[in-house]
Amino acid sequence: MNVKRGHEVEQTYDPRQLIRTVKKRRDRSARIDAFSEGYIWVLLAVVALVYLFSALSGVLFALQGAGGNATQLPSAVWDLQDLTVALLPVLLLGCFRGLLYLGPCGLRPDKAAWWLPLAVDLSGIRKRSFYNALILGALFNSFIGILWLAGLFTVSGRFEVQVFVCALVFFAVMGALLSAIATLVQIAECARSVRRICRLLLMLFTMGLGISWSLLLTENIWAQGAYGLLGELAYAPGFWATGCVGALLLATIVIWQATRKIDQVKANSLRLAGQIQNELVGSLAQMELSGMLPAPESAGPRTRNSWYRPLRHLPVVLQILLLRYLRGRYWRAPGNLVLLTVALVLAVRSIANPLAVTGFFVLLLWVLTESLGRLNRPLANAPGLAQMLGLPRTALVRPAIGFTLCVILVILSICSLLPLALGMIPPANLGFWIPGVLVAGSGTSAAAWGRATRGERDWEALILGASNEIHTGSLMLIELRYFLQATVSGLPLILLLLTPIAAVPWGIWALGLLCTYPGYAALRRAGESATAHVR
Amino acid sequence: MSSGDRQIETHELLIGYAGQALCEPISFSVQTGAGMGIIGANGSGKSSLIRTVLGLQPAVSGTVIYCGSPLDEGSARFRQEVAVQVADGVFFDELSVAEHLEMVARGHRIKAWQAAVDAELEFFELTQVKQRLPQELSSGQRRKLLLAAALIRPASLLILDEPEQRLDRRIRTKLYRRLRQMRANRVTLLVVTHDPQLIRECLGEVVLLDGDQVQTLGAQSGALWLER
Repeated sequence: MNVKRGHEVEQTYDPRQLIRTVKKRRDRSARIDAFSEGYIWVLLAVVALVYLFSALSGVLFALQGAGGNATQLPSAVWDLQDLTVALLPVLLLGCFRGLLYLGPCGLRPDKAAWWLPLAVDLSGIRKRSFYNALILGALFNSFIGILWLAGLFTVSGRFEVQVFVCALVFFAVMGALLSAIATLVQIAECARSVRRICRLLLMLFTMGLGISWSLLLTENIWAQGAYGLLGELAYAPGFWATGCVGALLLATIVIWQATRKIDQVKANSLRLAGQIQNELVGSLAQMELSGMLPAPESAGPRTRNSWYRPLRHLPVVLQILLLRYLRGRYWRAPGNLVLLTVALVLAVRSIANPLAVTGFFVLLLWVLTESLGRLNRPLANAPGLAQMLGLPRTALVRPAIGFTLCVILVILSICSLLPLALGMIPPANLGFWIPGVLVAGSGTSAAAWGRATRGERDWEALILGASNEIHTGSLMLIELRYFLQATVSGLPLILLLLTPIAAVPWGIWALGLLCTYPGYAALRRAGESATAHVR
Repeated sequence: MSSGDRQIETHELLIGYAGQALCEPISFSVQTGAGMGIIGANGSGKSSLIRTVLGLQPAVSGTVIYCGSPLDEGSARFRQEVAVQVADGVFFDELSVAEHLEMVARGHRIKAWQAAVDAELEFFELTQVKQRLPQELSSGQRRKLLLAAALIRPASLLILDEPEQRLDRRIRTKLYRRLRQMRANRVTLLVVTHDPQLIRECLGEVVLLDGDQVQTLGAQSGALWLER
């Protein structure tokens, strides 16, 4: 079995034949199983689209203030429609960046492990992975495009079928084009440089937005004309049709070029891309994207950064939490949300309204629940961690919940400046606003701790096992309960913003306080387990 | 030793992750028909070295040369001449044990592939489970399937990562006898191992990854290091 041979490559054997033969031999129930697996993913994509569309409509409805009174700020020079149209290049860039991250040409781990080392001609396998990448790009960009179109039609209040169809075709073709470009980048192994270019483009775009905002502020005619033109073009089927033709021509050239060079894509690149795509599918199945996010920085030597030296005087659990919070960049999500909200309020007309600010606070509570849940997950779930640190469990749980509460209270307090500055909190309500912040902070920290203890989910088994829609709905409710808990704890603040004249009913305060109870229970349980340990 | 005798060699190869090296640069060469072991404590970088040599993991710096040219795991020559068994295996959920081996045998143009599959199944005592799917096998049986897939095909260089893991003593003895025969047939071996018996019976020298240091030892010294 160890005979050397010449280096000519087998032309006739295709390892995929064996898989096809095995699939043909499957009995009917196995075929139905395989079909239902694919059907579930299509169904989930449609359900996700419907829910995202509803969520988007809700967000835009809130941003527009539902026709209510909005504070007109002198700096608010954009309309939501202007912004929606201007964001199109960012979405396309984001799609390209996503495809670059995914490969886009990849082979599943089992295929990569068993097919790539074979002494056969792998062109067919490489081409297949490229065609799959094109389909992935077209579908992914179409998904994003449908959401963008839904946003555009919602803010403008107009729906035109011709525009929808032409734009959808444009997005699909653009998706294939972006995927083909990403493939050429994968072949050339210059993804890092291209990612830097993407960051630069995003910076230039942001600067461009800033410049156009400044020009609109000075009522520059050219800037106003440009935005007006963009708004008209977005509703011109001819514009989209021209875009389709242009994208199709480019896509043809780029796809032809990539097809010629596809044999040059490295085996390891296919393998790594396949691994990433597999992990994404697993993360989507778990509805847990933290596995796909960049890993937090490693601890490294604590003396590496002199900024962290003062932390050495803190108790070790607080050091862990602070360092995780800072180095793991858990501050980024709420920070970005705050920045985005302030930018939108300052720059876009009609957003400075109570409904939008309420929506911002609700979203902030959700983001804090998720980010601080992830921060606390190792402390909540690793049973040996307390032992490793030589501490009782209570010395881990109490500082973690306390730290979470402090972070949330600080963030909520800072964000309270927004409605204060917009005059949405009458002085008489300040006395209620402060306890409202305390209740929301306590409830959200309890929700974050609960989220940290969340176990893995087998969604395929859960959804297939659900016997009817009510059961499926209850599954979703169970999954989203921590976000609901955070929202309910924020109800006093929500009512103070939406109905500043009316007093907040005591029942609402009671509900909010009820949401803080799980956090108190977790503190008690940690204390009891420590006492039991001592006994 | 002329460069023509060297089948695989590394020049100042620095292995690691995200630019951080695991140990000092490694330089070694393995002649055609020789047997080289890689030993070290857990976490010393043995499997990382193999993965870097195979191009599965980027090197921090340095080069790997295969038969005088920079190693390219995608090249036809590499695929035809080098057989690899890495520690972690993935399998096709829908293919049986025999079908996995059939795919490898036919993918390497073995004309009498059915006989080759039967021979490997018999050697690794997998005949009874040849129709089973990988998820129905024990971890030891899955390890044997990976080894069978590496040995069923022709190769002039065989790279194994802890082949002794999860094998009972009897199969290990059979495997080591077969590796000796392969060396006698001028097949080069590069093996990561924790088993002194494997080193003594099948290999000529070892590379020891000891903390930050890298040493080349004879087989006996390497086996003694493992036994201490």
